[in-house]
This record gives sequence, C-alpha cells and structure tokens, in this order.
Amino acid sequence: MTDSYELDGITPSRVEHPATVDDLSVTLGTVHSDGQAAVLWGGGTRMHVGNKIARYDVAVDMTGLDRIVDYRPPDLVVVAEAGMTLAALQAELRVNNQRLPFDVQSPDSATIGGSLASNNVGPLRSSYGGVRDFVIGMSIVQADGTMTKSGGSVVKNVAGYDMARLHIGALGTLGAIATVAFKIGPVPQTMRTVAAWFDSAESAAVAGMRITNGAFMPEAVTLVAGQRAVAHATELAAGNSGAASDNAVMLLIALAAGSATVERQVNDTTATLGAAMADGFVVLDGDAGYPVWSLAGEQPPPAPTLSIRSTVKPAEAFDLVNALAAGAGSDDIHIVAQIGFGTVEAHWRNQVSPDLVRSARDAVSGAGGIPMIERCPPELKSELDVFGDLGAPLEVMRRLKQQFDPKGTLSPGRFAGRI
Amino acid sequence: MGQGRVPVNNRSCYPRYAPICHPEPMPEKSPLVRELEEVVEPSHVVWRPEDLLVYEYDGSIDRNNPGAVVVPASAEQVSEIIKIARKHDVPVVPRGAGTGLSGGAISMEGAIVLALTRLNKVLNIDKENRVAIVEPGVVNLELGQAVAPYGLQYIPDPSSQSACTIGGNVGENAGGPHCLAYGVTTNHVLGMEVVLADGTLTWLGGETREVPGYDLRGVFIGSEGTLGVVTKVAVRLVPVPEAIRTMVAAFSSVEAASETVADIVASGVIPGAVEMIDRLCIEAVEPAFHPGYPEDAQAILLVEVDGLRETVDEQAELVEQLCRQHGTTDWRTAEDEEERETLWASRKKALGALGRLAPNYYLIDGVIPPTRLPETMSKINALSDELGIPIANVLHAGDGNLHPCILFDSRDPVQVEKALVAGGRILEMCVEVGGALSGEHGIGLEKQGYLPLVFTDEDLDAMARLKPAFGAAGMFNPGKIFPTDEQREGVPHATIMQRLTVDMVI
Ligand SMILES: Cc1cc2nc3c(=O)[nH]c(=O)nc-3n(C[C@H](O)[C@H](O)[C@H](O)COP(=O)(O)OP(=O)(O)OC[C@H]3O[C@@H](n4cnc5c(N)ncnc54)[C@H](O)[C@@H]3O)c2cc1C
Repeated sequence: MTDSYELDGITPSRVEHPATVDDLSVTLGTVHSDGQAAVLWGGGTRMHVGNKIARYDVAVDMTGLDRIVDYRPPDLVVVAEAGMTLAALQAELRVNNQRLPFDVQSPDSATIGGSLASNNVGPLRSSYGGVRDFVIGMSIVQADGTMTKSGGSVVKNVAGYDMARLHIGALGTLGAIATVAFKIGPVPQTMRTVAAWFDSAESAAVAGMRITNGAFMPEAVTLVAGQRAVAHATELAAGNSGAASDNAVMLLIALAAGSATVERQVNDTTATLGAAMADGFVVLDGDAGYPVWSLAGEQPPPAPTLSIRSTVKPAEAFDLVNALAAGAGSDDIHIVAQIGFGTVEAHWRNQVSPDLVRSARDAVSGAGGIPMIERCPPELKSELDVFGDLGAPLEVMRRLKQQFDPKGTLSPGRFAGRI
Repeated sequence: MGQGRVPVNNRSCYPRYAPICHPEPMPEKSPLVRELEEVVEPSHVVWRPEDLLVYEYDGSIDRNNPGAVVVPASAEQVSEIIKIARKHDVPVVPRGAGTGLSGGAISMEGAIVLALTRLNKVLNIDKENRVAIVEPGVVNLELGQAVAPYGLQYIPDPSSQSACTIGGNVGENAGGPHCLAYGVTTNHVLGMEVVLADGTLTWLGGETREVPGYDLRGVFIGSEGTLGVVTKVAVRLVPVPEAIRTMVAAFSSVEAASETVADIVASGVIPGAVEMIDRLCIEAVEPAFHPGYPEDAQAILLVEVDGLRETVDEQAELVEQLCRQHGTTDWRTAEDEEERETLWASRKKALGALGRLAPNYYLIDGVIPPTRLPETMSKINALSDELGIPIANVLHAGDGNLHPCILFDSRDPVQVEKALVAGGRILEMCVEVGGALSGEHGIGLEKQGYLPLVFTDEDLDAMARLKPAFGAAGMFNPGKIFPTDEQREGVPHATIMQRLTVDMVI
C-alpha cells in the first residue's frame, strides 16, 4: 500500500496519516530526528512537478487534515486545514454564496496545501491574480516539527515578514503548510462563458488582447490550441450549424458580475469577436461552473509525456503559442494560455525526444520566459534541472533551504538546483 | 562623532528638550566617507553632524542619528556603496521619502542612510502588457501621473502618495484607500531589481507575472529595508475604470457608521474604497478643505465604487440602501471630478489638517475584522475619555484597518506617556479581536516590542532566518522589526518605557 506513494521510482518505507496539526508536528519531528526524508502528499495530482527526489523514506499523507478551522462569512475570511480539497472548501463557502476566487486543476482531489505548494492554477487567475494573492495567513510545520505561523486572519497585515509567500510554489521543500487563511469573495450573480473559434492564433491573438486590455473586465481570457481545441471548435461549430478550420484555435472568455453588467459584457465581447473575424462563437451559461475549465483543463488519458509551463508577457503569449504549435511534436499537442496573466502551458503526448524538449524550451526562452518542465519521462528528469536556469536568485534559494531544512528532511533534491 | 557604529542605546524619542550638541568640535571625514566619496560625488555624501540632522527622523515619533548619508545616482553606485559598507562592517538603511510611520528609515547602530531619491525615473511604460519599470525614488503620485495618459493606473494609493516613493511602498508593502477591492503593494509589484548584501545586482520576480522558484519577490516586499536595496520596480498597471462614483454618507454616531461598513463588507459588494473619518477629523478638515460635511455629523463614510457603468449603478444603489438602513443623516454623490477631488483631499490630507487641533499626533495602524468595528470604535472612544487624551479616527474602514490618531503636545511628558500608553492599548484591542498589529505602516522601531503579542519565539525565529538566507545578517536596517530580548519578556510596558528614553526626561 506504500506503492501508491511511489515517486520517481522510489517507494517509501512507511506512510503517515496525521489527523491533526499536532500529529503532523510529531510526525515531522520524528522523521527529522531519524535523519530520514519525507514527502508531503495532498491529492497527488501534481506530484510530477519538480526535480527527481534524492532521498525518500516516509510519505506524509495530508488528507486527514481536512477541516475548516474558522469561517467568518461577514468578514470574508476562511481558515482551513491544508489537506482539505478545493472542491470541499468551495462547497462550504457556496452555502453562504461565497467562493475562493480562483480555480485549480482537479479540484475534487487537489488539496489546498498541494495546490498552493505547486502553484496549481486555473484560468480565473488572469483577472484576480495568482493563488498567492488570496492567502492572508498560514501556519507551517517546519522540517524539524516546530509549529510556526505568519500573517493572520484579517485581510490586511504587514506585521513581520510575509512568510507564507515562501511556501507558495515551494513544493513542500521548506516546511509543511498546515493551515491557510484566505480572503474570500461573493459568488457573482451571473456567469457566462463566451467560447469563440478562429482559424489562426493570430486572429485569436488580436481579439484576445483587445478583450484583455479593453473595458470588458472579464474574469478570464483563455486561449486553447492544439488537437483538442480543433475537436471542440468542430463540435461547437457543428452545433451552431457551421464549421471550424483544421487549425482552429479557441478563445474562452469568462464573464461574471451582476446581470446587467454581464449582459453588456457579453454584447461588447461578441462585437469585438465579430470585428476580429472569429469564425464563430457560442455563449454558454456559467451557472453550472466554468465550462472554461472542462474545455481548457486536463486532457483525457493517456497522460501527457511532456508538459512545460512558462509565464511570459501577455503580448508575447500568442507568439509563443504559435511557435509551440508549429514546433516539434505538434501533431499531439494541447496548449492552454491564460492571456491576462501570460501563463502558457503546453502538453505533449508524443515520444519525448531531446529535439522536442530543446525546441519547446527555445520557444519559451525566445518569448522571454523561463521554461519550467512540469512533466517529463524519468530518464530526462535524472538528467536535467526541470526549473531551468534561475540565475543569481538560486543562491538565495539554496541558502533558504539551508536555513529552513538543513538536514534535507523535506523532499530533498526536488526543488530548483536540486536543493 | 565618528562614522563607525554608535552604541545601540543612542536612540531618542521626539522631541528633545536640550539642544542637540555634538561633543567633537571639529568633525573629520572617516575613511568610510572618503571611500564613499570616490563612488558618489562628494556633494551627495553627507557626514557633518549638523547636516545629518535632516536625516534623523522619518514620519514616526522616533529619531536617531545616522552614521552618514549617501545619495547615489544609479543601481551600480548602490552596489559599490554596499560593498564599501560591508568592508567597513557598517550597516546600511535604505530610505525613500522618509514618510514611514514606524521608524523604518531611521538609522540605528550607526548605519549609513542610503537615500534613493535621485533614482527617480519612470524608465518604461509598456501599455500593451500593462507594466511599468520605475526607479525606487519615483513618487507614488508621479507614477500615477506618468501612466494616466495611457489610460492606466497604479492601484496602491497611500494617503501620503504625493510624497512617498515606490521603493518605500515596496519596503512597507503599503496600502491605501483603493486597496480594498484591488489589493496592496504586493499584489501590484511583479518584480524588483535589488542589490543584495554582497553587492550582487539581481531581479527577484520580473516583468512577467510569475517566475519559477521560491517567491523571493513576495518575501522581500514588506521586509522594511532589512533584506536588500530595491533599485528598480516592475509594477502592474490596470485600466482606468470606465465609471467611478464617489459617495458621502453622514452618521450621527461612529457606531452607526461602523455597522454600515460591516454590512457593506458582508453584503459581498466590494467597493473600490470605504473610508471613515470621525468628528474630530471632520472639525479639522472642514475649515481646511471645505468638503461641506454636515455640522452635526459624528462620522462620515466616503465610499467609492468603480468599474463598468452597470456595476457602478448596481453597487452604488446597494451602498445607498445600506447607508439609509443605518440612518444616514445626509447622503450625497459627488457631482463632478472637482467635487470628487475635494472629497478625497479631505480624506487623504486629514492627518495634516489635524495639526490644527494639537501640536503632535501619534498615528496608530492596526487591523480588526470588519464585524468588530462597532465595538472597537466604542472602546477607542472610551479609552480617549479614560486617559483624557483626544483620539481622532480616520480609517480604511472596509479593510478594518484602523488609524486612530492620538493628539498630544510633545512638550508635556505626561501627555507623551499617555499617547504611548493609548497606542499600546489600542494594539492590544486589535489583537484581542483576532486582528493584526499593522495593516500597512510596518513594524520598524515602533512596534517591535508588540510582536510577541501575536508571534511566538518560534514564529519570530523562523522569520529571522530570512536575513541570513538573503546574506543580509547584520547588513541592512539593524534594530528593526524583531523585538529585543527585554521586549520579548515584558510587553508592552517595557516597550513604552524604552521609547521614553533618557533624552525625554532630561
Ligand atoms: C500623512 C501620511 C499618510 C500616510 N498614509 C498611508 C497610507 O494610506 N497607506 C500606507 O500604507 N502608508 C501610509 N503612510 C506611511 C508611509 O507613507 C508609507 O509607509 C510609505 O510606503 C513610505 O514610503 P517612503 O518613500 O516615505 O519610505 P521611507 O519612510 O523612506 O522608508 C520606509 C521603509 O522602506 C524601506 N525602503 C525605502 N526605500 C527602499 C528601497 N529602495 N529598498 C529597500 N527598502 C527601502 C526603508 O528602509 C524603510 O524601512 C502615510 C504616512 C503619512 C506621513
């Protein structure tokens, strides 16, 4: 049963299931004093991210830490344990017509801690900022089991260093996220998604930038390219008694606000789409959750062999999409670009060749981004640093690891520079 | 006075009763100063004791002598200065406009003040990607003016925006009235070029919204000049909203106004800004700016909603409804841009206007959950009565960010002590209801003694590890943020006593 906690070909010798923050502290304290190495597991949806782990003895399954610690709807604050899934948290908030204004991949299994630690992000970020922008406090169990906290549970707080930031995106290599305080917001009264298809990334780009930089204030503008986009466009076009091109690129625009505002946004958006020569579009009801996500999200199995994520300037995102779509391996590629944010994720299911990796990384570097390889075959993972070249800041990151986890208790080797 | 380290206890509280005297009749340039003069023109190296006086204080009530002041003209010069300071084992304090309210820019332990005011250029405005690159000495309001022609704005708008710098905003993670809906500095800064303790010049974060690796940008923002010196900032800009509506509601009690705020927040409408000023502030601003507040108002709410026209209509209607439910005695909407500006000037310049009521003020910055506003505001009023010291309130009410402003006369030691006691009591009130010790002004010297009210030794030790991680141990802004050993023991009385230092009593 420890098999399911296998990582990079290593199966741990035991699995711990802490049920409380105190348990977690005891667990890590023991691992630390035994000189062993632990890997923190949330829903396991993003374990492929990071460098190859150097040592791994104990799996710490965080999903037992799944309670709401404090929820004060009128103050727009919720504090939850890190092992709670995003879907469970959103369900609790929805009871009061509230939500955490960001979405993640696989919310039913992705936990709060895992999503923050791996910077798991969905399309909503383009207007609201990253997940980090909603965290107002955090408690952390340090590598040696010491419990610490920073921030608090009010929306504004500059007392002491903003330590929570360190753990967001750190893949659990500096400490275990135990509880998180979030700033939350109301569920918008009305939600719509406009899904449009174009015959080229260029025309989608023109419309996408116009919408992003216009007065529309969409929640998200997401571009999807590759075989799945073509399939979806074809399907939507058929339902609309039209046709989509073989190179179809989709643009998804999420709109959410009061009903009068959304009506106006839909009108303005579709007018812009017309002017930008969209091949067609449909307006979808967003009440059942964002169709943006089912269209732009995970690929159906088999899982990709190579996934690269990068964030470039929004205006560069379209060129990057084009370069990736025209590059090696483009016969089975799926690209999702969050336009306002500039994040471009590309997934391939081809045989991964050095050429493919090189051409993809070059495309990203050419667009001014740092390519982060989120998923790749094991052989490749042993050879390269999936974080790419981080320059001078890497030295500070090394010293951070040295300060917070000198014995390498937490996922040694997994972070940038194999720290 | 020599230019080396001066004893830690050479710290004084405003004001001094005796004229400042410097024992050495003929000050001499130290080797450190001579080396600094090789990097920066001698006219931009300040070292004579009488010239250093200008840099003794910031916007807070503490003050202390710097070892020297150097005003570089480029990031490269900053890097050279850091290397020289390190060689001489002298710490460095970055300084923007010195408007900070917690003593962040005050030099301790003989630190050299590194003033960034000459690094004041807006280097690039990228309209398409909505990013600007600016030097740290750019004044917040000037950044706003520079990007306005592009139809863009930079959100964080501290009330001190006509003076404070972007570097100082990064240092304190500054907020402002319009941070309610859109977030504070950290939500609007994509990256910074910084000089680290060994003189390395590097970017943390960048011009894109995200870079791989630990979020060094995120921990650096709000680190109060203790981790390095910011030499460039990439800021995120947003389009100027299509519609803005500014509304004023008067109330016959602070409690009624507070309940209204709590209800607005709870309703889920998140206006661009919800600010409150109370009776004392009204008395100060009315003759200064003539905003035309009703004479009998005990509290005024200034609410602004912005966005698409339809959203503005919807939200304004809801806000008006809630204000009326809570018995607003006077309701009005700004008719034009001129009226809007008058209303905002009355709010943003309220502190300055308080000078009409008392010679000095001590501005407290604390945060509470919005639902606790009514009871906390009552308690602050009761405290004012109890101590017999006036407290004016001007607050970023929607965030629960209190700014009680304690009015006193610094020539009267009894009043000074009362002001400090009142400040401490208010912070304790905030902590009791689950709030925070600072929403935007930082800890600096002012509040280091109060940190143990919310943080354990373990919490503070974890924070302290950031300095060595940045290679900055002992290098930048020493004596700030972290409580002294004494303060860890006896909060908050020891803190108050420590601030009423020798100079105060002579
Ligand atoms: C009347 C008045 C109203 C105010 N209103 C607000 C408000 O609404 N919201 C708010 O948040 N604050 C407010 N403040 C406080 C103050 O203006 C802010 O904290 C501001 O950000 C300070 O900027 P500054 O340039 O004056 O920085 P300084 O006071 O010079 O420095 C502040 C801190 O930043 C560090 N620092 C400065 N520059 C750099 C740099 N380049 N690199 C690294 N560190 C640096 C300093 O070491 C110091 O610790 C107000 C102050 C006054 C006097």
